[in-house]
Formats: sequence, structure tokens, C-alpha cells
Amino acid sequence: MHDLVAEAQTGSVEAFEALYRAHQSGIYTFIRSQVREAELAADLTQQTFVRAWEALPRLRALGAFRGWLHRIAANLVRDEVKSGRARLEVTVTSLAGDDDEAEIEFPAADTAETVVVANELRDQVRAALAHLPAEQRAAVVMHHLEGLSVTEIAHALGVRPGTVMSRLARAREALRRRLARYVEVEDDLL
Amino acid sequence: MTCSELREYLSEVVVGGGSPWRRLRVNRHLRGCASCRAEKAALERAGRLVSRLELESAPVELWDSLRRHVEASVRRRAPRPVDRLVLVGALTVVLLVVGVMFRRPPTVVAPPIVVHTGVVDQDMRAAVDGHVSADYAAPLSDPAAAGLRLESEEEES
Repeated sequence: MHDLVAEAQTGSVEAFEALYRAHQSGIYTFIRSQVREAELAADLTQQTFVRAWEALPRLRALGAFRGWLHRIAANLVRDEVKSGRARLEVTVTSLAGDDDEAEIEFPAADTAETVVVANELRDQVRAALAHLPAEQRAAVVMHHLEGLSVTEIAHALGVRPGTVMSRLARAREALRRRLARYVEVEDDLL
Repeated sequence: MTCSELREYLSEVVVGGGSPWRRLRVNRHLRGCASCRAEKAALERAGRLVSRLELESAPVELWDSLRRHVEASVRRRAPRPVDRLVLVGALTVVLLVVGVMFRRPPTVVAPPIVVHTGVVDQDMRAAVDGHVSADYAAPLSDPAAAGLRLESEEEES
């Protein structure tokens, strides 16, 4: 990844495309979790990469590329929300995407009954996520879906690592309450 | 640590936070409390459920639009041949200007000046005539002329 970033800094479009391919889904999912409109999310994703391309020659810590990219995205989202153009409320649909029925790998659905259970569970998880406050949802999406470290999230959101940890803990409690019927089982469905 | 105290800190510990001392106390309590162990397991399952949601891809046409912007930016960054010519011309002009500004000034040859000393001693006139010219730039460079002037002033007084 360092090599790609270094190569893109010299103006290589191919290297930048590889970086885009590697990070577009993470950035888009994060933005989609923060704004309601899919079109706006796509627009902000593009703006994120445009700004990244323009500022890339000034990036010193090549290893921090992912966190840096998320910081750009988070700033853009914040500006949009401040301007009033973006609505923060997200719905189950906005977190689920429009047509991704086959993408989720919830409990192996080898029978019609388990397919129904898997779909229901997936929708419930998305609904629970959608009900979180925006700042908790941002931390959860970055941590659980994208695998960013607490330090990376703190850098991206411009807060202290302790704050990120606190948001993750509060979010976990809220998710556990909303998903009680799925998590209070002896037999782990997952 | 009681169960209610533990529940206050459990989510923090489950997500990897809390001080080592707090983690130690929580773990000690969990060893002897099945109810709190079940709560911890529920919190962990909630985290796993979210982790299994997949990332959503951006619309496929996004890269095409982005590529156009990036390539246009690359073209703007690269200097064009005309730009290079202008650059070379501008550099030449700058060098010429700098050369003119810092060239050495020509040596100025001062015209000889005639010094009328007003010496009264007629015997000294011949000697004074030999020293009537002095370097304009260094009037005291002729010590003999200077000496004569001083000598004549002393005699007058």
C-alpha cells in the first residue's frame, strides 16, 4: 500500500486507481451511513477522492493513508450536514443498499426457513445500526465494517482515542439492547 | 465488584477499553458470575453481528468520472512545450537583468587638480610646483605636498 501511495504521489493515475479500488467501498459505506441520499453519498465519495488526489503530494505519513482518507470524508460529511444539504437520519435501506440481497453472509441459508431468518436478522442489525446516534454509527462502521483501529478512527473523526472507545462501548450497549432476541441465546447463530 | 457495578463497565471492557486494573476486576467477577458472563457474551455477539455486514460498493460509474478529473489534473500539472519555451525565455531575461545590475562599474580616472597653496616663501615655489597635482581620489597620497602645506602654515603663524 505504501508503494501505491508513493507512486500515486508522483502523479500515477494507475496507482491512484488501485488505491480507489481498495478504499472506495469503505469510504462509500461510511458516507452512506451518515447521509440519507444515495446520490449525495456518491457525490461526497467522489469529492473525497478528488481532494485526496489533489492533496496527495503533501501527505508525509504514507502508512496513514486510510485514516487520512477517512478524515477527508468525515470533514466533507460534516460540512454537508452544517450546510443543511445532508440529512443525518439514515434508514434501514440506506445502510442496506438498494439491491444487495446476495451480499450478506449471515447464517448459512441452506433451507427456505434459514433464508428467512438470515434476511430478517440482517435487516434487524441494519435497523439497529441506523438507530444509533451519528457519531456512534460513524465509529461502529469504521471499526466493525472497515476494520479501522481506534487510533485511526480518532484521527479521522478529530477526537481522542478515549472518546472513540466510549462511543464504541455506548453503541455496543445500544446494539445489544435492540438485538436482544438474537444475542440472548445459548446457541450462537453466528 | 457487584453485578451492577460490572454492567457499568462491561461494554467498555468488551470493546477493548478500560484500565488494566478495571479489566482485572471485571475478569475476576466474571469467573464467579454466570449471569454477567452471559451478558458479556451477548455484547460480544452484538459486535459480531455488525461485523458481518458487508461494505457497500460505490456506483461503478464513479471511477470514470473521477478518472476524467484526475487525468485533466495531470495534464494541467505537466508543463507543455510552449510553457517550456516561455520558461527558458523568462529565465534568460532574468539572467540578463541580474548581469546588468551586478556588473563592475568602469574605473573613473579623476582629472588632475591644481592646488594653490598660497606659500609665501619664494624658495619653496619650485618644490611646490613639483607637487601641484594630487590624486583626486586620495588627496593625501602625496605626503610631500601635504608636508609642505603644513610647513608653510607653521611658518605663517
